[in-house]
Amino acid sequence: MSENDSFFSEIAQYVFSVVVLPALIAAVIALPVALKPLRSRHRWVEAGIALALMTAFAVSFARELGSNALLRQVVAIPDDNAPFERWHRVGMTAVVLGLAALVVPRLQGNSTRARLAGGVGFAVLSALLVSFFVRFPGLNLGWQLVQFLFVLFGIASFALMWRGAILWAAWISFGLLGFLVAESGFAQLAVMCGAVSAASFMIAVIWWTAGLFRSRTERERVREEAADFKNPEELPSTGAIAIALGTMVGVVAMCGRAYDSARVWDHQWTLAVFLPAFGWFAAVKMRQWFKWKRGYAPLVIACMLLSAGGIAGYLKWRQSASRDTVPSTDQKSLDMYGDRGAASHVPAGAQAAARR
Amino acid sequence: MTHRAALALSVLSLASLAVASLAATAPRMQGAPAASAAVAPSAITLDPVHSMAVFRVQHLGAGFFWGRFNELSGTVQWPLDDSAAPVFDVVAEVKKVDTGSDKLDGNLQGPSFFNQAEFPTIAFKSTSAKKIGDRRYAVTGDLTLRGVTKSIEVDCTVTGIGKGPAGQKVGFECTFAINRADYGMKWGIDAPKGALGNEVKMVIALEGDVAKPKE
Repeated sequence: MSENDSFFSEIAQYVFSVVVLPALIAAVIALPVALKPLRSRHRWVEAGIALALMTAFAVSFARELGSNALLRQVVAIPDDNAPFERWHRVGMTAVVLGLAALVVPRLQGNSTRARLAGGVGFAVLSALLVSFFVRFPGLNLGWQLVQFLFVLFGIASFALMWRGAILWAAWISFGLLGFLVAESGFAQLAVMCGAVSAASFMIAVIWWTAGLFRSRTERERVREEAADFKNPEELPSTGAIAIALGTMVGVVAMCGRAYDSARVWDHQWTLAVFLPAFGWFAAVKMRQWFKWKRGYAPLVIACMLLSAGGIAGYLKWRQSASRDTVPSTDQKSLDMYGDRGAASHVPAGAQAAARR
Repeated sequence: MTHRAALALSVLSLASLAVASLAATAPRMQGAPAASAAVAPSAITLDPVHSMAVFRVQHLGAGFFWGRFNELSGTVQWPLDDSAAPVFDVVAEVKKVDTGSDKLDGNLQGPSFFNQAEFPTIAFKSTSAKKIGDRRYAVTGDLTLRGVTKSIEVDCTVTGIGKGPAGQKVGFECTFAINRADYGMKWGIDAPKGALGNEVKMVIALEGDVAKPKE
């Protein structure tokens, strides 16, 4: 194997270890429930998928930082002198959300009112707990309130999403977040977002593939529902997936902002949280304008992909624009030694003569 | 005869006195300061413009990559007659890291490396020292990096005593090496493997102004 091959092999092993492997584990966890259509009323479908997605994040976190990074947040570990870092709370958030996904659906009733009340209640509780326990450096009370709103808005965005589109929306949202976080210089969090994005994609493909094998009768019923956009006499979802995804989107966006050492553009994080809601709104409008007869998922995917591409492209443009205005290292050296006034006004010819 | 005896006695006495004086002053001649000539350590305040730390780490198992922390601050206690070891209390700000690339500076300030948001400073405080040469010391002290404090040994040399516009100036140069994994900075060692070396070599160049004695 050549040296180049060895280098790429190391990179591939790293990517497999922290992105692909967690996503595969998540897909295996979701397999029993993803093969059922998401519109099923079965609570365990949502609980299983939410657990799988949070497991992807937690496994990536543990692969990147070691399991002690999670454990030292709850117990004292002998001979462990590494300090607690506040951003490690993001990993703990994923663990708690994954466990809560198994509990939340079971606590909700079997009526529409009970489901809605339970969903809203758990969403507010999740936002409150995160705002209280997850505090990143440099964020004052006002920013904690913003974090609360980010989480609530993220949950609402995913809750509005059609069941057939929620996983594709998560794929794009976490993909964009991973890109933004990587560009801000936070490689470790970026790969964790990549793991969730990859897991969402895998589970969405499994679900979509399973849908191809549904009976003809069921496919016709699905098309009728999509065409009329009338929610049949079905219970609303328990919100487990929306609560898990929305909370993580809000927390990761705030974490990215708090640790953004590049500070090229502050609004990228807000736009990342708004992305699923924008995708939902744009899909509704486009369906009306273009009289789209098929499902909403393709419209949501198209709108979110275009928006995510626009956000990423604008960030790259701002980065290149800011590099053009940064003073050169030589200028910094002149400023440090106080020779700026003298050196900058000496003509090049005189400098060359002085060197001779 | 009596006169000769008295003369011999005087010579003997003088010789004895001379020998006794030599014995009394011998330790001083070997370099130990006499108690009456001891000089109090001078308080030396570091000049941030002329104090910096450079570090190097191996990149991709190939070349060594150098970076710098500008504008170190702190104090050094050291008697100008080199009668005692210097005592260092030096602080570097993580946000002053300078690699020549703004993007790389940002990466180094991020949580994967120095985590400037949570640990904004790197500090060294000496606890003891041992003289190992002319104006050269092996200084032991506590290095606090990323919230982890470990005892390290630093090879320090007094590079010179000069005169500046504000008075006397003293320079020091210190070198040491650490394993960054000991301070929780593990990215690039095992994952991705070999991207960055574990050992980091540091060269600290300090220059400070000697405080004028109170009149």
